[in-house]
Amino acid sequence: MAVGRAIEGVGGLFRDRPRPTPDVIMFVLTAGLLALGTVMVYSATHVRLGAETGDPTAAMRRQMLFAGLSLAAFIAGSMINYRRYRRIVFLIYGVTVAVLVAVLFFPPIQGASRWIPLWSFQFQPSEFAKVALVVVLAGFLAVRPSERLDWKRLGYALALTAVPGYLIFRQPDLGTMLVIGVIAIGILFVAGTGVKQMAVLLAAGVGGVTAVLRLDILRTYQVERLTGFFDQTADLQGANWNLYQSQIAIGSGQLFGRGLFQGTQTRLNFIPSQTSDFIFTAVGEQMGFVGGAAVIIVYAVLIWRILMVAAVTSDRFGALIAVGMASMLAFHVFVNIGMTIGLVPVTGLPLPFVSAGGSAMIAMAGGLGIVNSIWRTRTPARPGGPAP
Amino acid sequence: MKGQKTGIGVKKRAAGRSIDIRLLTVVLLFIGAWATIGYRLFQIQVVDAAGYREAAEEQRVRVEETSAARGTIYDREHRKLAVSIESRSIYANPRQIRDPVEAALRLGGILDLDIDRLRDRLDSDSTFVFVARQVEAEQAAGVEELDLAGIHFLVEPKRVYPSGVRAAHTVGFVDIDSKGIEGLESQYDELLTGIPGRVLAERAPGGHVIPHGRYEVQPAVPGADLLTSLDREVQFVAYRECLETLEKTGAKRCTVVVLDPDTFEVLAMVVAPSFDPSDRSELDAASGILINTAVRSVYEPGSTQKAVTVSAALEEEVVDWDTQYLVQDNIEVVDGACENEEVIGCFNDFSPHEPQLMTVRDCVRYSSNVCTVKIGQDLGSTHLAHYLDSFGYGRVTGIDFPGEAQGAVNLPNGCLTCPASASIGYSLSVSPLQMAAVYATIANGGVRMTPRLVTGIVDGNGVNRLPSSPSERILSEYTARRVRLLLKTVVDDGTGTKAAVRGYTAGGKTGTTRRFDQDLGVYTDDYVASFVGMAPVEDPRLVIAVVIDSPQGDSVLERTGGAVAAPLFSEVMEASLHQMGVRPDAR
Repeated sequence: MAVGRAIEGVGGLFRDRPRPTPDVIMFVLTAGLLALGTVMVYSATHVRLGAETGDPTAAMRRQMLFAGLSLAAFIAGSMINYRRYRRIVFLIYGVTVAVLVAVLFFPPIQGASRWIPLWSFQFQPSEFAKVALVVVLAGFLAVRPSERLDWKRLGYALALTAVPGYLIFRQPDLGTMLVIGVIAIGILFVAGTGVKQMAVLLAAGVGGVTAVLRLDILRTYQVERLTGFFDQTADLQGANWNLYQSQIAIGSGQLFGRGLFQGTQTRLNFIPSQTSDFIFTAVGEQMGFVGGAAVIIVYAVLIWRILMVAAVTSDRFGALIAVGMASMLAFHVFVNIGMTIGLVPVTGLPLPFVSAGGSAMIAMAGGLGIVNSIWRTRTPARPGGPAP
Repeated sequence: MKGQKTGIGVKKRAAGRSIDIRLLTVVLLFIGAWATIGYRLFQIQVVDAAGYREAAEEQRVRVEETSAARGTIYDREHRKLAVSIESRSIYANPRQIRDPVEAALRLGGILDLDIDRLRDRLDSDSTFVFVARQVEAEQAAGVEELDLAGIHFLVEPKRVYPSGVRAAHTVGFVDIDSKGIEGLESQYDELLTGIPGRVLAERAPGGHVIPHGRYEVQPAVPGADLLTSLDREVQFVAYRECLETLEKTGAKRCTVVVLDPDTFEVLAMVVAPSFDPSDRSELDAASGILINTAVRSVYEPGSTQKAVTVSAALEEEVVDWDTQYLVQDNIEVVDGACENEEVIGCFNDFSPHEPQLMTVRDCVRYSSNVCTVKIGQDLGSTHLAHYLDSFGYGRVTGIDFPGEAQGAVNLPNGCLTCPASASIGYSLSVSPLQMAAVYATIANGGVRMTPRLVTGIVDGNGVNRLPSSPSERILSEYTARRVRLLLKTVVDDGTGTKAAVRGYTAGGKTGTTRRFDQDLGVYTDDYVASFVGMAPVEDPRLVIAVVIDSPQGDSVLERTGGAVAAPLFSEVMEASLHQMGVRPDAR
């Protein structure tokens, strides 16, 4: 009875708790990024909110609440033995797909059905779906002890990815769909996909993107963002306005920045969606190259810690989860910061732990918690050392 | 990575190594991506940073010019001749307009604009186009009621002219941006314009000024007001009489200059036909209607010139006013010219007469060409040239008006006919203003000054009266008075009886010349009829020069200065003297 096993699995989640040796670096860096996000959101909103509503700290308080919940999610994720998820991967997958279907029936906000209203919050299932898919794919691909994946299993893995991917594309949320793809590619690669298989995968990816562009599936704004990326000097008042404003803000931060709360471009709302997609402009303007580079280094260390977990654990399930989380995190950071400095086309991906938006923060912090759980239950199979 | 060495399980060595190699690939990819970000960030924030900060500054700090109020132009009694008022202009941001065709239709209907051209402008790829500038208040209100997206309003100064067509040539006019382009508006443009102010402010994207941001204000310095010597009433009378004369005589153009001989201030300067200085949209500038002929165009003065010849002869004591000449009805300057009926070298009187004895007084009174040529011969060409120069022939008067014509004197060495021509007003050209200045010199007891229009400037420092121009004596008081008395005989019972002014003594001289076509270089069949005179004779208060271009009529007699210009002189002089409250000095 699969259902019975699943119930038992859920019930067993909190037993067999990992040993209390958390990765302190990971926790501190995550907490630091959450604090930075809170400050940045305040710097970008207090002037406008103060003028419009008389409550300059409203956005910041919300961000603080999410930061707190994120830390809770991190700790919770650390407390649960990640191995327990393995038994219920299909339950996780089923729930994820169900919620992704459900969200399509909620009224669209700004033309996109991405959110489910919950009290005064907007729950964004796709953010959790990313983390869930990491666990699901890791669980599905870790069952085989052999190095190579056969085509059949690869096909199943792709199908498992395609369903949530398509549902997210329907919302539409191109950025998150790409994240799903990157997660899959990352896990598949480390799980042992052959060179031929990888080539097929990449070809399919490129073909898919081309088809999306050619077949008029994209909305005008999405196409304009892409074409705008390839000619960044054109149409500065229109499609490239975001990018141009974003670079002005970051560039005018110069080496040491204008100082906290001194960012003129940040305070004055020159940059659209600044607290979410373009939060890095606030960092760049106020803290300069030194601050921006520091943030990038923090992410690098964080990702290095996650990959380290993948390297040290002898459990393939854990290793693949870590790889998936690292891929997800790295892609988010690269695309988000990259778009603000004109490296990649404008895509609506949040900067992990810094951008406003509760779902993404909490989901990703939970994800890191899971990685931490892997770290805490790792089997340090040192050569010559005693096996547990 | 430390993990590569320590993380491999013994049993899963092969599999573990594979994972490690792949992990290493991921790590390398990741390092590459991070290096790219770091490089790009360095480029933006360190290498190109100055440019971005400048762009940020430019976006926020906007400098706006605030226009300075343009000065008002007043007449001598502080009545307004030109004044700026606030009006509304309508502009569009085509990017905000959804349906250019509909917008053009609705706007065009209210504003009376060409729909197609308006639609093209509303459809353009810019963010600012004018729809209509300085529109009527009702039109602006009508457009406001439409409440169209992308249509905005702007308050702009608009120049209006209370004296309208009647002083258009003298006051001048401005272009749509209130820049003076003609007349006094042009001459004194810099003073009238003032200095525009500047507001430098940091602004948020919506255009709102940022509190506590940079904010520097350089207030505008309003333009100065001009106090002119013009008298609106005299100007209006002269214009009215000009229109009447044009109607009566079918002439092409009527030019009148009224001078105060004591100061050489211009009381009126009229050109008819005229135009509306605030709406010149329908005008054909090439037709010459904008030209102030009083200052800018020249004509041959003809017999009005005889006053100069006689003044010189009297001053040089070549003749007295009762010196007698035996005058035939023609005189040869070139031997045999009259016998052979040649045009050049033979001078005729206006109408044939028996040879008779004429005093200098009679010469002037009856405007005898032959007699004046004889006086001129006795004076000698050197003296004649000297006096022409003293009276300002061939030179600009120096009036404060743009584009003054200087005229010409044609007295080359060895030319036999030229001095004779010049003594009776041919072979030289003057502007009506120059001729008025010549007579004003006689009226002013022989003292010449520079004519002027603006007597004072009012700015932030108060009223600044401009000093009158330096004066220069050309004739003795005695000579000047005798010439005035000679001119009086012209009006009393000579060729200019129609110039008589009721209640006042008046003196002046008629002039009738064949009109010389500058473009064709030939004399036409048309005439230029003129009269220049003054009143009262003993202490002249006004000098008026009237020039009528191409009066029409059945006979030559109907087209002479005495017939056409003298009556206008009389009317304007009488009305103006009354206007100025001058005590009548004759019955």
